[in-house]
Amino acid sequence: MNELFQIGADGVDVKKIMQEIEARVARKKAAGVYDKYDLSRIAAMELSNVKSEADFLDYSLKVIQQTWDIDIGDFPIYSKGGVLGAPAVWLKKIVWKLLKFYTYRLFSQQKEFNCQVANAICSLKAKVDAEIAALKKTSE
Amino acid sequence: MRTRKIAFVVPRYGVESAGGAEALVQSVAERLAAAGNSVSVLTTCARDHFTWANHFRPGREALNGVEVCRFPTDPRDAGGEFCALQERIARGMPISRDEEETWIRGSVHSRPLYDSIAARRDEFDCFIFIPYLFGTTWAGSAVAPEKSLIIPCLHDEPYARLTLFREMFSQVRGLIFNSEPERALGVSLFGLASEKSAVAGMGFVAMDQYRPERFRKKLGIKGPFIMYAGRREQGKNTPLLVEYFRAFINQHRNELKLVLLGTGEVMIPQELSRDALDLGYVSEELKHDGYAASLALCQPSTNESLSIVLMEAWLAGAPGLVHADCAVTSFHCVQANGGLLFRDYCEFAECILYLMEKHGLRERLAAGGRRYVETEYSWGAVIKRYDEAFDRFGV
Repeated sequence: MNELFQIGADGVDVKKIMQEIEARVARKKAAGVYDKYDLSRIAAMELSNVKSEADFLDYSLKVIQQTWDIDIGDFPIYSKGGVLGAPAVWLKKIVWKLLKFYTYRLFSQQKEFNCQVANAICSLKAKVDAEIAALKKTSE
Repeated sequence: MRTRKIAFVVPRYGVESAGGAEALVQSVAERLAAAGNSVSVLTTCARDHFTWANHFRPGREALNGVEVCRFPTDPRDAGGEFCALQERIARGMPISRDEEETWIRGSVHSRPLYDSIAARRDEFDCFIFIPYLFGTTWAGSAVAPEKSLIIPCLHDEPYARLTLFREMFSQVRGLIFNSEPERALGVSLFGLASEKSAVAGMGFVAMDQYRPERFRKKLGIKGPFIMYAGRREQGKNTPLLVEYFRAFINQHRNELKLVLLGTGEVMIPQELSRDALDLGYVSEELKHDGYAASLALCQPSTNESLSIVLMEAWLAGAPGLVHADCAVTSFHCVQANGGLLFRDYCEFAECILYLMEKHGLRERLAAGGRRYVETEYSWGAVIKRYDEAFDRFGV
């Protein structure tokens, strides 16, 4: 490696810290700490787990199942600073309340459509998988 | 230091809230000009990188000591075939050389820009193209390859494995990378000879002052928070960060918050509406104050060639928390002893707990990062490396 890039903070060794963190993770895993939590949702989002065309389809379907339910509820509006920060927040809240009256119906319909499409695609996938399995069984 | 006449060729220039490559080219062009070089930028009239519609007026203008020449973009056929090919490439599926060319022809192009390169090829010592993935770089560098250098901003992605880019890299005079791991990737992908590559990057300067309390007051945050800054999209792993944070809050029920800055949509689940704060695009001052106030700057992306936000955070006094699968950011953190690395959720959670528990660790890691930036990515060091690269390439 290029000598140009050999720097370091006094008294801190990231490699050693990472070894310690890895050991802590291993201890907690052995003690079942992480078993209490459903991490499958995260595993499904790890693109590094997608290795093949079949994986990609499964990955996409999982993402669709997690994202069809678009959030149409209220959300916090924060100030981005400056003199106009507070008036801008006030204005945005007013605009959102006005828009919500018009957009809620559209978003509700979109949500219903998303739900039906997600269900249809998942059913289709299940049906195709079942038919392929049946065909394989027949050919054997 | 010898002065030179340099032309940068970039698809967009002087666009607010643009990506890292655009920020890099503007700052490097202005610094090279300030160092006594004659610097021009040949670019398009586009502002939006989705439509590439002409927005700026064509013509010449002087901007911070740099001559900027804008040319209209060509009409594009980015329809069904382009999209289908893009989808296949992104998924790593094989396509033919002809299909690769069909795809790149759907990218942004400007015939008047290519004509200008041809007309002015003897006027400039070199043309520097940035980044590698656009039509202007592929077609523009073919006009005068013997005078062309590329700053690729390379990631380990399927596009980098296309034959036409391998050909392009083999034909130009040299490549200037942003970091050592990026150069190593270029060497492994394209078998580049060492004399054909150099590392330069871009420089960073600390702000005159950081006001972390101002940031906290604006957001009403009293406790610790981790910060994300940059484009919010799947390719940058932002949705994964939100999921990790959701799991962390469910598991630990503590006061930690996540603050997200930048452009692009990010879906924050309703249950996190009080813990994950999306500020969108904010002023530079507020962003830097945010770094200074944060427990750590989290960079979950595995596709980085430099990571500007990591360098900025270090200067502001925040350590990095980066994905171990990103060769570039993990290299920076280990070399600088400036940040922690996570490979999965469990490591992500432990890194945060470790930072919260170990008194003074945040500051010591940030100090290592700051020293790294001041040594390797100061403007003095960067301009010196550009000068050495130009000498190496005989420019």
